[in-house]
Amino acid sequence: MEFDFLAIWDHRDILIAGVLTTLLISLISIPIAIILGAGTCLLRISPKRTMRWPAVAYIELMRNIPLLILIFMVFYALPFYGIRISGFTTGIICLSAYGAAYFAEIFRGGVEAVPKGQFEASRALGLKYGFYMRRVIFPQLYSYVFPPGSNIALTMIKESSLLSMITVTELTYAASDINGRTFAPVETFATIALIYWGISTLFLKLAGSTQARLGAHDSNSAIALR
Amino acid sequence: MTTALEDRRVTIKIHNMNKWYGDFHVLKGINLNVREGERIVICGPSGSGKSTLIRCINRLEEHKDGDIFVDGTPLTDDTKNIDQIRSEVGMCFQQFNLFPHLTILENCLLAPMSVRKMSLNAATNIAMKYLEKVKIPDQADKYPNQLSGGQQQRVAIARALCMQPQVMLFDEPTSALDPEMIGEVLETMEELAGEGMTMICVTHEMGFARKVADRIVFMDKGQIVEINDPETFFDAPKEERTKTFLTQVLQH
Repeated sequence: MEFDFLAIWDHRDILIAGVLTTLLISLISIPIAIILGAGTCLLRISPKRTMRWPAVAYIELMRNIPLLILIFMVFYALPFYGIRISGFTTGIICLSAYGAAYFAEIFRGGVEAVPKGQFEASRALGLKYGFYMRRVIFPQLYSYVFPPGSNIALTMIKESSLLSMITVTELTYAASDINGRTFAPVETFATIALIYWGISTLFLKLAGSTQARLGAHDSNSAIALR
Repeated sequence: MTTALEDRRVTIKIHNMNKWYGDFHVLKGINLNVREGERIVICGPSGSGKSTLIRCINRLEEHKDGDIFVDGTPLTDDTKNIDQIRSEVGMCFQQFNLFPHLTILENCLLAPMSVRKMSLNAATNIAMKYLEKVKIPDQADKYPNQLSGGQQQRVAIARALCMQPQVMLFDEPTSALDPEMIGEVLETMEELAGEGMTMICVTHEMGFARKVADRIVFMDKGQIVEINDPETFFDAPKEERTKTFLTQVLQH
C-alpha cells in the first residue's frame, strides 16, 4: 500500500483552519476553567455548608457524566427550552465547565497541602478569607497544582475533538472532512494524530518552563500587593 | 506608665471559660484578667492547654463555654467582630509562619494595607520602622527562606507589630529555634516588654519569665494551677504541682 500524503497537502487550508479552531477553543476554555475552578474550590472548602454543597454537587455532576453527553445536552436539548447556542460557544461552555470541576479538585488538594500555619498567620493578622486565599494561599499552590493542572489542560485540548460531533470545524472535524474528500483515512488520521501530538508536546514544554520559572520562590519577581 | 498595674484598664478578660475537644476537657474554668501593659508568661507541661488558651484569645480556637472579652468586646461567632479583634491582637507562632512567596517587606505590608487600608507609603514607613526595631531593615527585600530562624521570628514579630496591636500573643516563639538564635528573639521580646506592650507569652524560657513577666500563670491538665509574681513563683511557689514542674524544668 502506498501512502499518499499529497492528497492531504492539497487540503492543507482545511487542516490549518482546524488547528486554529482547536487552539482557539483551548486558549479560551483553559483560562476560564482555571478561574471557574478556583472559584468552585473556594466554595468547596468554605467553612459554611450552604456554600460547600453547591460546589460538591457541581463537581460530582461534571465528573460523573461523559463530556460528550454534556455537549449533546447543551447543543441538542437546550434548544427545546428556547436556548440556542452555536457549536463553537457550546464547546467553550462545556469544555470550561468540565475542566473547572477537575481544576477545583486539584486546587483543593493544593490548598490542603499548604501548611496550616499559613492560614493561622493570615487569620491572626485579621485578613479576610477571600483576601488571604487569593493573596497568601493560592500563590503558594503552583508547585502542588502545576503538574496535575497541566494534565487537565492537556486533556481539555484533546477532548475538544468531541466537538466535531456537533459540527465545530476543529481539527478532528477537519480530518473527517478531508477523509471524506480523499478517501485516504490512514494518511489523514495519522497526520491528525501527529498534529495533536505536536500540540500536546509543545504545550507540556511550555507548561514545564513556566513551572520552573514560577517554582523558585526566592527568584520570582514579587507579586504586586494590590 | 506611672499608674499602678491594678488601676489600669483590663485589656483581656477571660471569665469561666471552658473548652472541649470532643470528650476531652482541654480547658477547665479559666479565669484570667490581663491589664494594659501587663506581661504575662504562661508555662506548664506540654498538653496542659496553654497554647490552646492563647489561641482562644484571637479565636484560632473557639471556646465553648464562658466569656472572653478583648478590650471590652466579647468574642462571638460574628465574623466582623472576630476580624476586628484579630486586627488588635498580634500573634507570633512557634513556626514563624511567614509567607514564603512574599518578601520580608511585603510580609509586613500585607495586613496594614488590606485591613487598615493604609497607603503603600504609610505602610512602608511603618514596616521599615518595625524592621529597624527588630534589627533587620537591610533584609527587607529578601524572601523568608533566605533568613535564619531567629531572623524569621523577628520578622514575624515586626509583621505583627505593623498592625499596631494592643496585645501581643507569643506561642512558644523560641521552641523551634536553634539554641544560638534564642537569645536574639528573647532580646527583641524584652525590648517590646520594656516599651509597655501588653504581652501574653507561652514559653519554656524560665530566665525570660523571671526577668520580664509581671505575673506567671502555671497551667496543668487544662487548669490554671497558680498565678504569681516571678519572685514568689520561682522562690516560694504555693502549689505542689508548681514545685514539681519547677524542679523538672530548672534542673538543666
